[in-house]
Amino acid sequence: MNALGRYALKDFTTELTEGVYGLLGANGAGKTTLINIFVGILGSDGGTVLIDGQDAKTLGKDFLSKIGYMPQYPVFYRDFTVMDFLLYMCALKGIPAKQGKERALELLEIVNLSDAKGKKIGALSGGMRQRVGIVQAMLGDPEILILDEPTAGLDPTERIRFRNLISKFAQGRTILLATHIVSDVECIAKEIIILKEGSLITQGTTDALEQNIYGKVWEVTVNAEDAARLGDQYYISNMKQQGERFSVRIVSDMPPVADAVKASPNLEDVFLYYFCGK
Amino acid sequence: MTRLIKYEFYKLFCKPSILVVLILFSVMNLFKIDSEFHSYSYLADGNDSRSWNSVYWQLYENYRGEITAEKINHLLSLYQPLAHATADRTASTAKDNPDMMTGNIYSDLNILEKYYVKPMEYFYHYQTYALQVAERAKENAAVYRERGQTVEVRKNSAIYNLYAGRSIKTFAYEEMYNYYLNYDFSGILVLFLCLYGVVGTFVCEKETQMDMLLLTNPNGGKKTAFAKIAAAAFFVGSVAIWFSVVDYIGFAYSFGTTEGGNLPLYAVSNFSTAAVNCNLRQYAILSAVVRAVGVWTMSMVFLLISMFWRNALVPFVADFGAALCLIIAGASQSYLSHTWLKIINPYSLLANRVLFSKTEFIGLAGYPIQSFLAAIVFAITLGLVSIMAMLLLSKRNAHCRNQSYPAI
Repeated sequence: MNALGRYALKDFTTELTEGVYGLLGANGAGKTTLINIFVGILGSDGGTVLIDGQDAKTLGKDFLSKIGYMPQYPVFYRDFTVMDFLLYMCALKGIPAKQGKERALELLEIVNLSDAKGKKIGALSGGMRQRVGIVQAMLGDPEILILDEPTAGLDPTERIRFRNLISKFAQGRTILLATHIVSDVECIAKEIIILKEGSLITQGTTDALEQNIYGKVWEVTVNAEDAARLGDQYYISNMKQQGERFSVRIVSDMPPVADAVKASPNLEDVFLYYFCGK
Repeated sequence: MTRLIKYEFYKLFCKPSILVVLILFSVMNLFKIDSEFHSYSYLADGNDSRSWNSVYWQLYENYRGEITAEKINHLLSLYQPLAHATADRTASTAKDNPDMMTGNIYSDLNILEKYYVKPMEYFYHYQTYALQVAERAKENAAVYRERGQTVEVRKNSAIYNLYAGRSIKTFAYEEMYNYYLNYDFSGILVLFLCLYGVVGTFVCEKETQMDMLLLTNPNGGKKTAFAKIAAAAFFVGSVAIWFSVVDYIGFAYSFGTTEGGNLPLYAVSNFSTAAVNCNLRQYAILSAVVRAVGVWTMSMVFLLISMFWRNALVPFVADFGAALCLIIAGASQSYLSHTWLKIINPYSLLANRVLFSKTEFIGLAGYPIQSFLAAIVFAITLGLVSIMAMLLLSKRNAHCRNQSYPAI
């Protein structure tokens, strides 16, 4: 709670098991606050973080050994080489130097950065730096991986590459991936957690969430003038031009026009429904 | 922990900018030292056979070593005729007189007077002076004992013990050490370089947002804070020692000698009431160590101040201002005799002649403590308090706050 009495996160309870969890929310929804409280960067006014039934506060440093964290917009140290940085992170995690070096090389191979191990971090592209970020998080072979907006600022190719990496690392661990980009989690997440104004709105598999709003997504084909009018009145999740006419996808509890056709919802529709519609 | 300290040192101080400033300051320092020699020493007049430099070193072989009656008589046999001949200021001012060592009678008189007669006289009479001080201290101690003033008794006893055995038995060239002991410029360079180096120690993590990532690692909280402090301490200690070495080598190179290192510290006239009994070479080492302590203390305070900011500029300006105030206060102490001000200003340890050139005491719990010792103890205490404050104020992971303090 801030000084004005406003909660950044309130009444949030969830249970995570093995697999990828997408934490979806608009900017300012409380995703980073939730993550910061979970990893211990921020203290909370109340509540507990339990790992296998044990309070994280009781586990203390043992809890930190179980998590790997990648912050939003990591800059790291520009003058460090990739390998120096990873060895430094090993020292921070208490991993012996030799073992840490082997693990770093293995992970760099996986993320296709072996050739960049001697490069200065300041000379890396955004995508390469994000990959270094996930490598450092994975160094201690954590049971839980927390990724805060890992694809922010990446081009589409790097975003796809990063998504594939997350899938690769998901085996045998819990991954919590915070993002406001629906496509980041649509295919890889076991469950989606939707956060709005610091509160948990809903949680479930992609299919379940989509099912929840079945009958609330419509498609109509209209002319440009009507498309503009519909845009003013409804939440449009997609608009495609087809010659002189437009195919418009609308999220609405009621059919927007008489000839609107029900469409199968996707995760973007779910996002729009909860953040704009509800 | 050693690995963490190594990485912190590499991260914080192995930067091109710091290396450039270190080299630049070292070169500036060497030029300044050389200018001291050329500006103030009469022996900086070249190697011509009639230069003071040549004449001095020719004569030096006759008078160096143990001070004996023969050497004194020999010196006076050269000096007194010149003094008589120039007493009425009517002697020739010719500069090419073949009978004169330097070509001019006044010049011969001056070189003998400045570099041989006066130093020899000071050395010769110092034992008597020291004995007088010791005897006076002994008498004072007796008087204070009768009055029951224990602190004064202890103080005078300490003065007696310090001065009782003092004497200067050998003659040697001490000009180089005289300038070396009175040289402060490098202390300012060390302070500014250390300020530049350490101010980013904590701030850099905030600037790169690594502070959050550090907190989520088992060794990222207090241990990292301790490693940063240790790395900073190693850096400032190394810089302080480096500049002390550069000073010594610079003076030795510019003056062309390290002669006189075995003379006692009080052989340098403005150290006649020196607070310690050691020779000049030992004092050079002592001074370097004390300076390192002073730089360490000030750097720890700089570090503490910088902890509270998110970027380096504001703490740099604040620390720079604080350093300037301490330097100005330290410089003014050369002319004032407020012992407590010297003790509480860590800059005194950088320009430490203000502490070592005078035998001064302060009373503490019934015991007289020499001002230099009090200043060192105060500085170490201030440094340790700053470290404790940094460790207490450094962030800890919220899940680890209830755990006991980590073993370092």
